[in-house]
Amino acid sequence: MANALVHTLAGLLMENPLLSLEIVPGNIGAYLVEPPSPGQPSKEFPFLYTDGHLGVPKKTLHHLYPLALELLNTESRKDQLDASCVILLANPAHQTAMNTRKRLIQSATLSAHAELNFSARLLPSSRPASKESILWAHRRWIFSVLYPPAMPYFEAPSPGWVCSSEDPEIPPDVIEKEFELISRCCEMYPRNYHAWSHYHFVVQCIHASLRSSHPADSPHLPLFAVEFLKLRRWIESHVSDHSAVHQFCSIISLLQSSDLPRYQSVLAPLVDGQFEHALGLVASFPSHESLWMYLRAMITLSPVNATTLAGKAISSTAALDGPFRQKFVSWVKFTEK
Amino acid sequence: MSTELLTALHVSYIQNLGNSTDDLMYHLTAHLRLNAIYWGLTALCIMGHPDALDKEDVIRFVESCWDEKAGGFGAHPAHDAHIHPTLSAIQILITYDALDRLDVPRVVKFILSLQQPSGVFAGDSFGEIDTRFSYIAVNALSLLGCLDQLDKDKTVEYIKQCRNFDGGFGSTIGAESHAAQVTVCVAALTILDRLDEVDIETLAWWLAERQLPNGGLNGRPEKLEDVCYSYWVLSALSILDKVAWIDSEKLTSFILSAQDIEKGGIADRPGDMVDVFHTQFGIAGLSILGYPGLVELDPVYCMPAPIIEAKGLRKGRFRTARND
Repeated sequence: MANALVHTLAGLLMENPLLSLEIVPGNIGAYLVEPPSPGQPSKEFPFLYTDGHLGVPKKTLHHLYPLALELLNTESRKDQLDASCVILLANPAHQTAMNTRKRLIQSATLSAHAELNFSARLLPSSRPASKESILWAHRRWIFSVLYPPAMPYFEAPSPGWVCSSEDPEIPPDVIEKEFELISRCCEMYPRNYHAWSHYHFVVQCIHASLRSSHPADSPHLPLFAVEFLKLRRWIESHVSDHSAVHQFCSIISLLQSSDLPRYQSVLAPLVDGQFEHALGLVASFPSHESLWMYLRAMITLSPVNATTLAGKAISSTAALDGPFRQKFVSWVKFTEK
Repeated sequence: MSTELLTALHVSYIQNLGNSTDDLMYHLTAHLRLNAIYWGLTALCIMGHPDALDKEDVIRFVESCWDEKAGGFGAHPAHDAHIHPTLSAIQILITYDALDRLDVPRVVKFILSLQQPSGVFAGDSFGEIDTRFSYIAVNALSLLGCLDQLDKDKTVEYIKQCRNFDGGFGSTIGAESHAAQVTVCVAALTILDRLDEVDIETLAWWLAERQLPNGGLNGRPEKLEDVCYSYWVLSALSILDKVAWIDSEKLTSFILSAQDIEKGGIADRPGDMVDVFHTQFGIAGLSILGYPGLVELDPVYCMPAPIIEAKGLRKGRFRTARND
């Protein structure tokens, strides 16, 4: 009976389509209007399933966790697969459960596409899942199974970007969904380090695709431009997200390197006006360290004009008082030394 | 709130950690068990109670985590081998002077097998890469006296590329600077005698800016203060000889305010639940700050300094005339 529950839950977690997945407090008793009729476990008991939305009561999940751990160590691949679903929902950092799923993909018990779907619903299911590095690494591993590498290259386009790449060539529609997933997880867990590092990987994949022999109308090009502007807007609406600021500055540095000459007419104009953008945001939200860091980065990334820009920034923020403005002024003095 | 380190309570808190193996929490943290033993044991050593755990029990547990197929340690029996618990196993065995219980050549082979063409290390054969794993490899090989088998230039080459324009380092090339990643990169470079790859002034500036008005340190801009960064930020500042750039007194009070004054242990910040990770890194931070009565911690290896000293591994400014 108890093991049957593990299998029922795993079936729900792998089911298509599942629109949302959430761990809800307590157990099923808190949500039932009528007492359940006796019988086999189902979608509706002791789980909450309505129109493609699944709620897993936390107490039930924790009850199933030790049972799933036992099932993981059995010989049956079906047991291992189902157990790993439940273990990872309760504890997204369980490396061995994650590895088990990779082995099941290697032995063709589990399809890589199905795993991409499962992982996309697991990641935003809880705050710990959203920020778990092994879950993001798992997606990169699946991509490397699904998609062959773009043309490898061996020189670094600019600091902060890999100097040799065998990044998978991911189709544009899959990349778009990946950006959506990252955004959801960054809403779930703000300033999400591993989600934003994964963002860097995705941009790197776009870059690798553009570097390989694509025509001037590569679908990756508009995708790149659109995502750049989306990231700029994200910073405006998430003013304490330094991870986003870091990625934005990193892309600006890549664009400055003119590493993709074929696409310059589209990419070059994107770089303009970012110093003013940073300055405007600092003026509107002077209590946000991230934005002051953005301003610093825009000065650092313009080595030729650094002194002029720093002077301009100091004078135009003169009316803003507070610790970050003071730190900014000290930083300018420090860097000019 | 206490203004003193409650050593006796912390010792008993750590001693009791292994007594609740039926708890859900025990199961949910099993993937960190070996790491947790290293944290607990190191905290006990720094507090001057190296014999507070049953040494033979601990060593037997370490042995039970051996993954014969991979040639490394998992975090718990029946868990897959990974480079992180493998380092914890080595650290525990060295602390107990029991390296004779380890198949050194096999472990070295396992670690070296995880280096990628780019120079970075993976955590296991499935290839998650992170500068944490590079540090772990360098640290472990150094502790085992096998650093000569490592391609050092390739290892440094990757770390170097993780340096951002704020002077900090991230988990991979292009990742945001993060105080814990800074420490692992700086410590790895220190062990490899390549601290010249660090822009010391710029990095120390960034690290010093991690201190918040309440005295606590955060790991990156706009994050909350957290006791564990007392170690991550301080160890890097200590290696760079810039601890004076932060307010030690305020940081000490912050760490002490996060103690559980009834049951022992230290939390991430005052009022939260304690755990052995924050207990260890709070005490490690206090040791670097020179808190009275604590054994010195080596900030490069994050182990008791006398042990690193005895192995002749003290680095840079921590090296005494005796080692040279």
